[in-house]
Amino acid sequence: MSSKSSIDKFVADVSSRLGQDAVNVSPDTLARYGENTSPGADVPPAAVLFPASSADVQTIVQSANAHNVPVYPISMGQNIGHGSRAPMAPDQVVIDLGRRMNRILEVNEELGYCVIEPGVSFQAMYDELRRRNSHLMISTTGGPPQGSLVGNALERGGGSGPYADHFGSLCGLEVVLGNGDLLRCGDGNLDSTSPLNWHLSKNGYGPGLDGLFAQSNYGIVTRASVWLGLRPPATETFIATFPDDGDLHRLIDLARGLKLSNFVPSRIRIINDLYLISAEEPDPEFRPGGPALSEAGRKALQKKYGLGSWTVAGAFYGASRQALQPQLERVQSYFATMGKGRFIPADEVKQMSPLQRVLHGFAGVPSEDELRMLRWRPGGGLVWFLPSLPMIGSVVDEMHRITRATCERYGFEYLVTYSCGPRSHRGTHPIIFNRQDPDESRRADACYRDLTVEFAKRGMSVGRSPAQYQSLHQKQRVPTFQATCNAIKKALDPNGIIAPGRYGIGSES
Amino acid sequence: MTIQLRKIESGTEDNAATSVALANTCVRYGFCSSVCPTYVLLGDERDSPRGRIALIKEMFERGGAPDPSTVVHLDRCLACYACMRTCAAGVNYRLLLDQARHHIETHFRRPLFIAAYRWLLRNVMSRPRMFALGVAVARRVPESIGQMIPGAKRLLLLARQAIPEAESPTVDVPAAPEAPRRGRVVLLDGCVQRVLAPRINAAAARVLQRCGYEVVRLPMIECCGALALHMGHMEAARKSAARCIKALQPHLDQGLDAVVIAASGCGSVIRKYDELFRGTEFAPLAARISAITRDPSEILMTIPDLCAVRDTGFEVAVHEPCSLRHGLQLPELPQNLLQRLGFFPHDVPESHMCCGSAGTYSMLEPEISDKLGRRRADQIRSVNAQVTASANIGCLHHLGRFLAQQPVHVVELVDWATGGPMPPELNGLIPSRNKRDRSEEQSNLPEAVW
Repeated sequence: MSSKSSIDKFVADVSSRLGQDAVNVSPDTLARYGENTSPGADVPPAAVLFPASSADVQTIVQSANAHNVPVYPISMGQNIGHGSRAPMAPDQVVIDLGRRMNRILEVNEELGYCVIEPGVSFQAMYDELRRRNSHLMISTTGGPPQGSLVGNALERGGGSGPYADHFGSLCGLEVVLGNGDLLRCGDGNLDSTSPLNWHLSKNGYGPGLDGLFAQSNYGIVTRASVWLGLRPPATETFIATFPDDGDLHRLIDLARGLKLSNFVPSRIRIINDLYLISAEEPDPEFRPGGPALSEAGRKALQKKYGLGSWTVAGAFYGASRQALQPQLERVQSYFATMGKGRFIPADEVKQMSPLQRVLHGFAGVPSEDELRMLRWRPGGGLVWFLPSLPMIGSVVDEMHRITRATCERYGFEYLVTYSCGPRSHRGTHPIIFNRQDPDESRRADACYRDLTVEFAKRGMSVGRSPAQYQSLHQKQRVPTFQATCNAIKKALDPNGIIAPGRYGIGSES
Repeated sequence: MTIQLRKIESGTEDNAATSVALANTCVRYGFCSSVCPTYVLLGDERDSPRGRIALIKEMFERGGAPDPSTVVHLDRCLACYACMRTCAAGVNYRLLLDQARHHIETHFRRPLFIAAYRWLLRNVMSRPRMFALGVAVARRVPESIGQMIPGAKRLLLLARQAIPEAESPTVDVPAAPEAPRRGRVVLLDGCVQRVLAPRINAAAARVLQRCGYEVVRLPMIECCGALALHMGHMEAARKSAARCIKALQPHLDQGLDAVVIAASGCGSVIRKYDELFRGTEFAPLAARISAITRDPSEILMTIPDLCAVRDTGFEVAVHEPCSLRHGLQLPELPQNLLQRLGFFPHDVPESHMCCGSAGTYSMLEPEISDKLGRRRADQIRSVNAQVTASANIGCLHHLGRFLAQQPVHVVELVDWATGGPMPPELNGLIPSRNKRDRSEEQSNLPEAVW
């Protein structure tokens, strides 16, 4: 735990070296940066710093080492449901990279990538490509348009278009290490003034270090390239809805085939009723301390919005609607083997408000619409439970039943969207609760922990975690893994300066 | 039905409990901060929506005169409502801000000069004849004098940008007899717009007539109440709005398809008349008017056979007014309309950001307003368009200060494209692109891979 006097000296040092604009210690600011949506308390930082360059970040880290004050880097601070802008502990000083390090350094139309700083948001990149009338497109998330591209990729966030693997699309990181050194990954470390492959290839010489800086606290990424897809003349989305909860089993197996063959280039989303409907209206049966929405209530909402228990969506990209028509017909006949459900024609989709959000995602258009689901319950509490599951229908169906029962046991509705790849997929479960109600907060916390145990018992874990539960997940790993993570931390950040405790690596205090 | 102005005194806007309840719907996600122009510029949490909501809540809970610093941070709000579009909790920040500003105006004593300046703005700008007189006088005031009086410089700038009626295009376009009759609309002139740029209303009238609408003009309607409302004078706003409703009532009774206003700042307020008069005997009429209030672009988009009669291949940077994008919730409407008519509209980056005009804001908070204006102008220049278009008089004039060429109203472009006179902003310009270019743009895509 760093002392008040060492924090004061650190802040004064940074202020003198980077200017007063780079430092904020006002109580209002600290309180706001401590806010989050988790069941735990707010965690106001000791100060907030605003570097303007990689050199500034190096200066900050060097000073933090000198004064033994831990720092906590954030990009745009839009990580709602995963910890927001709050540090791991109150003695940590937030480094807000989003405010001043928000430059788009390069857009390469020929090779399809951009080089950006952590403060570049999905919306800003989308705007820039539109401004240039670019042939490139970004992959978006269902999250806030003002979220960071680099931050999301480093957290291994997922999208829905052809470049949905966001971390997989990240290349050529520039990182400030815990000792203040500046590291360039991949061919960026070639002793050359113009390393041509820096942003192009992950398969250069030597160990691939990029992965060390995703979901860790080994360094502060100050720039990176993001690979971008070609914007096609036509994007055609297929959407089908299926009536019964039990349809999930077969849907997963069908989606696996479409992805293993790469017939569908986008991720295939399998979305449950309430995930789509929750953004349309609040829980009609909600009362504080009451049970989860009744089965009759859920069926009534399905009927009202014309949706079944599961809605499947994916997209084709090509020259024109006519050119893509055979794929659309093929996928329709493929799902027709279910013997139930219905494909929703494109014209009808346009009239169905819950499905608009799905279209935006596949077209690479940032949208805040999906987040309207947070109005489902009052009180502003949210944690995301994001397990990775194999693309095996029986396994997913079993976990769906366990997760639904667990959520309902704690008084919460079961909301999920599965983002399917060929072999595995991520189940995105928002646990929405009233953070101002201690009982609901306690139940949300217990629900999350129970789900963690249930999945771990069956050999599965999360692909991403709220900050509050990262040490919980880390402790589910074998001692060798934990020791290795800590040894790497010791090597790259010997004084434990960068976000100690994040992802359960190093000690918080 | 006859409406009585005296009844409107019974408003309940100063209901602290209601305001606190509204403030409590904020659950501090913080999505709003990153799109709030003042937070982006100043980095002060008290200049972000959730910071302001906390200040408002504290002000109402404590009661009485607000803290001067609270007034500073609430005055700095542009009321652009970008925050409302991004708010996942659905906080009605607009209503909360209206109530807070009303509380400030009824409980806080501003310095005499500031109070007088605000009074002047509110009472002169909302009265077209007085405003026109003021503009005429101001145009003759030497700049050196304007520099000496705080605030006056901005007013003089505004006056110099005004296009007097005599200079505006006067080409009449009769209603096309062959056009199918589509309905009857009232076109409101707006208090500021009719003085600063009357040609916009003329263009709107022409294009509506050309499309088959009977256009009724009601010059006796002065201000819709927006100026007073944004400055916290709820009662004055209601009185202006009530006069507007009273003038519209006979036309409503005769059958009216729409109330059209080519200033989206006014439109966004009239669209909320139902909220302004909730709980009063005006409520039913106000609700009827709210329901049929339209931006001209909304109506024109519904005309199936609307088409250009000229080569419209101009590259147009479209600045979407906050009142259109966030207030009326019609994002990308001007772009869609212009594209339909053959123009090449360009989205301007940071389309959620206010240009800093915001009604009287540019005259009350000139420093922030200018910073935002310059930022927006930089973004507009970045798209390398030939013309800039917008849909609100405030934005047009404010951005004009930072751009080499005065922006033009969307409805003027539509009017010209469909047979009306050419806006002077297009003089000397040659359409840089045509339909052939557009197909080439598609083919420039690496088609082989598709």
